[in-house]
Amino acid sequence: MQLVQTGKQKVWGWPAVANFTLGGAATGFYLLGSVIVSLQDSALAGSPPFAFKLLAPLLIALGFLALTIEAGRPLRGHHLFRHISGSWISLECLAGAIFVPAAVIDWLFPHPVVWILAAVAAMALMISQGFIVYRARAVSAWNVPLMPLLFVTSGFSKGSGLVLLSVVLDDSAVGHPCAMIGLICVLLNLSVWFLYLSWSREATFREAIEALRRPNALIFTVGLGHLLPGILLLVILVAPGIGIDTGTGLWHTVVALAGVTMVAGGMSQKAGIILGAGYLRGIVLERSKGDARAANPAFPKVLC
Amino acid sequence: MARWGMVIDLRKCIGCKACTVVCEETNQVPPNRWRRVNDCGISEYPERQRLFLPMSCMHCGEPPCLEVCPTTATYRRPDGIVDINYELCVGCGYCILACPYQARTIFHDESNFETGTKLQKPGLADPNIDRIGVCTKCNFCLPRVDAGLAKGLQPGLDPEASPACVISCSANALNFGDLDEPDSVVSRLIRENKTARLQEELGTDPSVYYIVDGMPFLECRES
Repeated sequence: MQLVQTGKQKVWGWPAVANFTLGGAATGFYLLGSVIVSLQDSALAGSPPFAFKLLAPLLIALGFLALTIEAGRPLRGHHLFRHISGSWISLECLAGAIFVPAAVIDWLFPHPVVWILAAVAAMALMISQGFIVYRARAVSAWNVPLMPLLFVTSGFSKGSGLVLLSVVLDDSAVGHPCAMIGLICVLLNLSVWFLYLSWSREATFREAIEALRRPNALIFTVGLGHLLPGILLLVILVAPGIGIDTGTGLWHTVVALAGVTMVAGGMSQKAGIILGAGYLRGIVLERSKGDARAANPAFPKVLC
Repeated sequence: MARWGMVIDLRKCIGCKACTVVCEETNQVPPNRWRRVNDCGISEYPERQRLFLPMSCMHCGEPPCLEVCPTTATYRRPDGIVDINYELCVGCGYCILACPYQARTIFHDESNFETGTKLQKPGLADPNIDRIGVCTKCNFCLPRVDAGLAKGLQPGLDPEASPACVISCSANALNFGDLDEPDSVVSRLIRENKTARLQEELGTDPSVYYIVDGMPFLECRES
């Protein structure tokens, strides 16, 4: 029986959202950028977007910096590495501490070993962020096994948005394959997002994610983050066929808009999870699963 | 080695909140942070019952807070008491989001520990400075328990060695003792009464039991 009803968590706010957004976007950006670079000589013609090598570690560092606003004693940050084997925050910090210098060194003095180290650290950081949220057992909408996968697909979706933006900034000629990668990432993230929204029929979960299922929330998370960029990416893919030449101002505008909406949509997704669905579990005094009131309509109502 | 635990008789608790007040005074914490009494009730006829649910840290056998703590500031003693090393805590708040009992809190520098009112930032001489910006929670009045044991007293039986909330309970609803000792008061109460624990389905193995005999509206099951 739920004796104490749910309330919203007030511990993690916008700094955490910034960290999760920048962390996912930057690691996705780095990994996808690396894939594109590795394909440069074979599949892709023209110059690949190199901005990721420096921008990704910068964004990661900004994400961690945002957390110092929220932490009570940020100057004790060196203690965060003490529980690598058990805490996902420790692992995230370790991955960040490896990734940032490795990526910068690889930018200054490119070397395959350093690049692999940075790529592995980026992947670890992306995964660890999902597990951080998943292991928060007091928050029913976060404590969902799907969360790591959601964070990974979200990271790649935002990362591909940044890849598209870097295509515009670098004036690279790899827009078509980048758009294809972006479309795949957006569709994957959209699928996992819908899966998450319908994950459980448990009353506490449904109540927690109710805000994410409202039309005004879906406009941002699905409309802005998936549908609009999806349409724009399709336009990029068929651009020559509809009279939009690659490299023109209109083409650049469409690519940039797709990139911006993918990043903004990803941010709204993270904000929705952390701030909108961050309800603490109600206090339950029984061992049976689910909401007893839902199972038995005659069950008495609780006032707390 | 003992495993300290608490048994709370929900039939006896009258919601006077004496336990929360003495907790504030003993541990110098703002009201309703380390300990609180939830006022719950059943509204529909014919049950119409009122229920008070005292809560604090459950000192879990499998503490979710300990698992997630990145600095190892949260630790579990061999006697089952889950405590925090304030020197290591960075105040990230992750343990607060991992604890399904809402038992943890971070005091920010504007809080006055005794009244909860907003005051100026305390100076370095403030005795509570080491607890500002870090996570804190009930520790079963660990200093009292340890000091009592050092004197050869028995926590749960000797007031001087027992948590302040237990000895101040006006209805004698709170009981403290060794859960691993079959003859202790708490073991006997668990054995002789129908008890339940909070958030049982999460598998945290809390050390706080609630006596729910005579409360059919709770639909509780024996732990």
